[in-house]
Amino acid sequence: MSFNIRHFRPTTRAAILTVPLVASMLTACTAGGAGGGGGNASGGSNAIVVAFKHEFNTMDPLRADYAQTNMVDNIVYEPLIKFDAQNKMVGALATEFKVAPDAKSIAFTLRDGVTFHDGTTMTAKDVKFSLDRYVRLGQGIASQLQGYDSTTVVDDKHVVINLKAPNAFFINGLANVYVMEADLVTKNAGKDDGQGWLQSHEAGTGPFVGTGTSTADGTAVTRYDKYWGFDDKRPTQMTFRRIDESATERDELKAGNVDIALGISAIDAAAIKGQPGVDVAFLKTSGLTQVFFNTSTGATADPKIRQGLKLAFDYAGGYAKIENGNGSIASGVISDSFTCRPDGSAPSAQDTAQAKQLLAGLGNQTLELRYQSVDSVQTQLATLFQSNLKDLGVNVNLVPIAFPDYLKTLSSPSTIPSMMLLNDYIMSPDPGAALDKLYNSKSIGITNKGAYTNPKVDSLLAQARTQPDEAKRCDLYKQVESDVAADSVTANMYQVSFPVGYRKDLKGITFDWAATPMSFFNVRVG
Amino acid sequence: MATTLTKFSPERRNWLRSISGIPGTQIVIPIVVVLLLILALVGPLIAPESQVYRSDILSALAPPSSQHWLGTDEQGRDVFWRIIAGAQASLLSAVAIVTGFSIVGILVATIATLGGKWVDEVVMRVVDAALAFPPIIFALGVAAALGPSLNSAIIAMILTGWPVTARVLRGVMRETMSQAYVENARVLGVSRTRLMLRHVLPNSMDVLLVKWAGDIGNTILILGGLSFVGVGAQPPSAEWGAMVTSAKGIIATAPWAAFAPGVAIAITAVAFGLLGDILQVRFNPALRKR
Repeated sequence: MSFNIRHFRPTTRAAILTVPLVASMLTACTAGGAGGGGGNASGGSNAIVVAFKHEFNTMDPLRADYAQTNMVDNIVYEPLIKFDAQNKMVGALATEFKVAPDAKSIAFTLRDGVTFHDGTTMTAKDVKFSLDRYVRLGQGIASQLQGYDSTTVVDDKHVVINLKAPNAFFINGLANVYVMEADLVTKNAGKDDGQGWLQSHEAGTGPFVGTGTSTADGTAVTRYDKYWGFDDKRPTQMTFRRIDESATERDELKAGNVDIALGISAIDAAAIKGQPGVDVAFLKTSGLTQVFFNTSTGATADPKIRQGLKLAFDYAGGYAKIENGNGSIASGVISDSFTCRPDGSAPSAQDTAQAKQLLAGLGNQTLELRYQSVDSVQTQLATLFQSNLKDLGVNVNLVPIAFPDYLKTLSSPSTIPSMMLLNDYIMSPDPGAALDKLYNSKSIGITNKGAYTNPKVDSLLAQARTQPDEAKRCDLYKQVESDVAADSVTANMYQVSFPVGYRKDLKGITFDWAATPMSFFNVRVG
Repeated sequence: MATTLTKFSPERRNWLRSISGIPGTQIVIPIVVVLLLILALVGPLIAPESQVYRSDILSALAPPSSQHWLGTDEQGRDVFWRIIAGAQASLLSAVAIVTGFSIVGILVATIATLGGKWVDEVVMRVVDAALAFPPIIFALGVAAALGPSLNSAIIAMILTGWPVTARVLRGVMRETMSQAYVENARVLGVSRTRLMLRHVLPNSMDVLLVKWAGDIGNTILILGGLSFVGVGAQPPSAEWGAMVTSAKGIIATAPWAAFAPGVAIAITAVAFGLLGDILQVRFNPALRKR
């Protein structure tokens, strides 16, 4: 029996020809998706592939304030100190550290036997070079070094960091300040202080070595077998592969082309649960989903309007249907991952009657809510907020904004959006530095996201900065949090819980302060 | 090349007949188009605003039922009513875009035809340069400058759509200019402007009308694509492309939320595309004879 397509009518012929064409296109798409990133993951392999969302801009630890950069840098570089699982400060490159009685300097003793990836021994000179470079460039992670004055090299193993003024917050910020090899970076400094070279190269001491293959779509690192804390259970290689679509990450994880998926939505996470060979962990992070109000200019300068806006949002509905019941409804201006929180903080709740009363003062003004449209959860939350306010007679325009563009608006109170929805993360278990950056009036134009001014808050933060007693400092933080909450500087929506899909035989998929939502420093195979 | 065209022409003729040659089938297409246009005009008036824009979050992602014929989306809004209301943003935007770039195209083609050899040369090189801009990339640029919105998408598509119309129309106008009746009018002393307005332009309009109808379908697809990549309509717009975009993350769990607006886009694009084919047959005596 022969098959001759010419026996059919032209329309039927077209339909017959279309089927294999569409099928081949779909096959091509699938093949491209599976192999596009060069994934080589398979069950039990020691080389793992990590899928992440959004652009990988650089490996330069100057930009470790970007989650994607820090995701890689925190296994390629190391800081002087870090926090353990019990939120306790422990040494990393430093074995001992001591804050001076006047809180104006911190002395460190460096670890013996630490080498950079080219075999050079790490010394105090490298610490000084790294800190001076961050402060000199004044961007990114330099915000962790506010109040830094200088570094004194005592000898190869001892170094003292000097501060401009007493600052108890300072040492906590060092957990994300990485040490780099002075000679190597100086040799490749070029005209931009090494920023161009460090974009795809590294000069660290961490358990993994960069392969110099970084692009906007990711990078790869291999295990450093001369690492001072070597552990052969660590993966031999990690490939970081950018996949922006949650559904693609889900399918790649299920197909075995990806071993850890950082960018899956809660819905896709639920779809993965129970699949053979893979699992999902919802990592409770130190982040909150919040709306920051511009407290300085426009309609939101009025605290009553801010309170009305805060009370308008349907927290319970959004939690059930947008957050899919993961995480929790926020109950304060900082995450409940912290111990220093005001007693009896209640979860945020909607009160439409009171909100309507408070928002009556708005009149016919239309507000603007900025959000990051690349994040589907934020888009849904923004849409729900807009609808909730519309029910109360308040018109809100939703305007997408890219995060780097948002950071630029912080330079002046007049350019800060009247409302900005974002996930805000605090990088250390001691919230002092974060409260100082977000709510101290001295941080307006830099990191104060609501251009918020309150002399009482400034005074409390100044006291906390010079308070060496941790418990007393904690009490001061609680007062700051209460005052900021009473002023409705933010609408506190949800405690961020981050779904992570992973190959079942991998260990260490847990929250860590070192990186959001997890640190690959802890990952082990088998 | 000529042989190839001759070889395939009968097949094209058969295809046209099978699709639009039967009176019953031929009539269905304009009826669908008219219904879509009516829907675009009255859709937002008949669709209850509470079902279209108001979030009913606890009813999110409900499957199709007697209460919600096409189910609800991730905000608990009725997908059916959003499609009805969104017809205006989707269809009238496409009509506005095609009309907009057609007007610009007519003006440019007229200048090129009337202006003499040098003007024609210069204008056509400008058209060639403008043709080099890919609409999606250009729209991304416009969105970056003006902010992502339906208006930005409309502006970008008008600015990138006119060169094709100008080039096609200029060719048709030059052909019309060489017709005997135009030559006769010229000999009788009719001014160039009058010649253009009374003789050349009206006799070139059939081509433009065919192109206009065909372009509506393409434009709806591109507009949907722009919304899909986030530079078109923004939430809570019920523009069909934006509806597909917002539902793309839940396509595995709530396929109706993306499928229904996708079908609406497909039906509209096909209807206008086929209308273009029908008009082509109607206006082209050569095709009609076959």
